[in-house]
Amino acid sequence: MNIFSVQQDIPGIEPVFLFDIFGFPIAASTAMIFLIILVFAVLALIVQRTFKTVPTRFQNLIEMLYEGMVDMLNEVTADKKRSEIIFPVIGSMFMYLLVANLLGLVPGISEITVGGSPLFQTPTSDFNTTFGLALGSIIVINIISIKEWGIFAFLGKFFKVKEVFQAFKEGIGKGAISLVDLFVGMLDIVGEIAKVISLSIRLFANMYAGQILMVILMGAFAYIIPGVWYGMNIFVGALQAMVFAVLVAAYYMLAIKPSEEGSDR
Amino acid sequence: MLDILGTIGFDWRVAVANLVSFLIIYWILKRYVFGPVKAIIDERTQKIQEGLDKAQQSETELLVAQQKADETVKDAKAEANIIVANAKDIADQEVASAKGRAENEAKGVMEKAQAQIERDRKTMETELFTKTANLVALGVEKLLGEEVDESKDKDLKERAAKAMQER
Repeated sequence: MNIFSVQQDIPGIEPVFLFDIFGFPIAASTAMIFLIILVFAVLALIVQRTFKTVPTRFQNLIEMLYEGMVDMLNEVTADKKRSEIIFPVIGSMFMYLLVANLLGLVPGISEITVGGSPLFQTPTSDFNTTFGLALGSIIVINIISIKEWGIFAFLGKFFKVKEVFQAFKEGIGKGAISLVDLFVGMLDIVGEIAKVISLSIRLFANMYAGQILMVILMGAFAYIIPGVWYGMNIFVGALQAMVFAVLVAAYYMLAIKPSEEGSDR
Repeated sequence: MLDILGTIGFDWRVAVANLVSFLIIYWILKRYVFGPVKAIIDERTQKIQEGLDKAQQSETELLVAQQKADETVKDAKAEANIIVANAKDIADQEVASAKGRAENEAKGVMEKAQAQIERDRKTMETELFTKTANLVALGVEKLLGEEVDESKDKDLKERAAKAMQER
């Protein structure tokens, strides 16, 4: 027995299913999200009960985090009104992903097993979590875009048929060029799907790879080096949460009409 | 597409379950965390702003009060100077008046004293002449060796007194 290493199985890429409820599978990542819901429910209770105008240290920390998120969003949108509208979504996303990424690093949580399977799995190392979140975000952003532009203008971004007709009226050469624009516009539909894929896989791959590397390092030498990697994982977890939230905010800003008043930081 | 995603464990049911779970988190955070935290921060910011405004207002009021106080002090000083000047004038007049009265009184006293002295001198002179005439008459009596009668004595005395007065 090698006391300098801790041998573990490399976690599979598939989600770990715990049990079914009316044929609906409950995954370990879902169980972890329930735990996160509990964490946020406790936070909500603390906020409701203890937060006052004169802050405690904990309140200071939460307020610092809150204002940091608001500032970050203002930087992305350069529009305070827009920031206020989307802050609850982007802020929730950031906090959810931050806690989800970091909670899996808490020693012992991933060791709790049910029937030989881990009860909790880092939600972001399950592709379904990141995919669902990314798909939901892009769908909501497109709905907002339809509300902003109107359905015809929205579709017109992807299918530039009107421009093609106008170009052909002006001449065949221009019409031919407009066909390229039509094709490029249609490619934007692929771009929307690519946004979902890139958002979800970026986060998932980073977190999953971090987990695998941790298992490998623990298997090689269980002291010092995994500690460094642990620190790195905390940083990467926070960074990826921020990247995801900022990208969604940026996609939102691309989807809406540009502000007439310009930047209002 | 779904087949490709399936190789990395995609299952739409889990995706939906996890998305719904996120929506619950969103609801909790929006309603019970972000809302109250924003309200508290806004309230504090407003209080601080109010405090700053009041401080600014107080500073302005203090400045105005200081200016007013300076003006009042200035006015009071000017008024005091006028009062002091007036008082000095009155005092000078009083002093001058008192001096005049004192001089007049002194002058009166002096005049009275001089008159009294003059009167005393004349009385003394008269007495001196009288006594000297008596002495002269007595000396003449002794020289002549005879008694001088009353009318002669009176005549001698008068003549002696007259002679001395003429000198």
